Amino acid sequence: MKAMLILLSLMVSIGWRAEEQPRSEVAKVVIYRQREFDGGGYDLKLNGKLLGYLPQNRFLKVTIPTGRVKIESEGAYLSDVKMVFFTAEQGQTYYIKAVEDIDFMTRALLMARVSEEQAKRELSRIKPMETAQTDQNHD
Amino acid sequence: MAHMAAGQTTDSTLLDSLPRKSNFRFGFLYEFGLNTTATLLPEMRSFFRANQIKPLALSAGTVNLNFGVRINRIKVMVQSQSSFFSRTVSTNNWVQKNGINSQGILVGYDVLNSFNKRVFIYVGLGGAEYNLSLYRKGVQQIPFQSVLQTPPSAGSVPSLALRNVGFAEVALEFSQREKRKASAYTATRIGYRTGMVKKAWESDVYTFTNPIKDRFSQFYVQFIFAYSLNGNRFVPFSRKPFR
Repeated sequence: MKAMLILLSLMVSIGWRAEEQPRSEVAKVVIYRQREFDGGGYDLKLNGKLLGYLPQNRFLKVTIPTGRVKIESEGAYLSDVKMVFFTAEQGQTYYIKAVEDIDFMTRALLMARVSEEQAKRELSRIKPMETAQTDQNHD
Repeated sequence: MAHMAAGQTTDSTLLDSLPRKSNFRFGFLYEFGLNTTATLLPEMRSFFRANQIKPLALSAGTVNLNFGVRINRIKVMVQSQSSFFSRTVSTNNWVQKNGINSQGILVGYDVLNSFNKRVFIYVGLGGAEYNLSLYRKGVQQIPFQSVLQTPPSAGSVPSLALRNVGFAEVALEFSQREKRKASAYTATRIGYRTGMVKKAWESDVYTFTNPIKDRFSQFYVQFIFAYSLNGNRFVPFSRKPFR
């Protein structure tokens, strides 16, 4: 009985540690905005967690877990929340272009996935935005 | 407030596209503007100061109604400005009331034309009338029925006016871009107008023999709420329903 309890606690302990390990399956996402006249900044969230702040003419490059991903944009004042969903696969890099859309008494940061070719062409003159996990290079 | 377009819960694909810049060639525009103005009348202010009367504050609120058309990047606006109310200032027992009315035409070109914004530079011409009345506060007791027969106190000038003031105007406008066939938008216009010649002060009560002359000029900041009907043909609007 005692041996079984020790074995059980050992298994739970190993299982717990395994869950604490960082996930090895990761992908990357690059979210960017081109230069806009008088464009405001927006907070970006990844699966509900704050990812960073994205003003115009900046990009964020972050590591994301594989699987289904939800990215949200949210401004400060009279702004709508916009979302983009995709399924991230191991080792892939995803490019998302964001554009601020201003209308009467409202604004939002629209986002859409774009091809790597288009993104690299448009990213050539855009500066990186600092975050805890930002990678300074976009390629 | 979260908005989720139909189908957005499905994965985003590379076929998703961001909206393009609207490109309506024509628009009919209706604007309502609230102004903060600073009107400069240097000779009248000097006259007041010389007579120990504190002149009116330069700033005043006025309201604008404008309408016009946009053809590609050019806007032609007819504008009408009026005082909110007759402003009253009382200092040193002197009371001053003023009012302004002006009409004009503005022609603008958008020097910056982005997805969300337009920046217009305007030049314009117009005419203005500035009215002023001045009286001294008193405590004389009279029956109301005899008020029309009682002469005003010394120094009262019930009517002073600068009339038919022709002015030239320049303005800069920061405006939201129209996004739909029927669009509401906001704009801010900063402008300066100046009288083309010095005009003599007149009165409805007196005929002045040697009036002082003033060159009217005004700075303004106008906050605009606007509505526009847009299309690619000049008069197509009644044929198709608006979206």
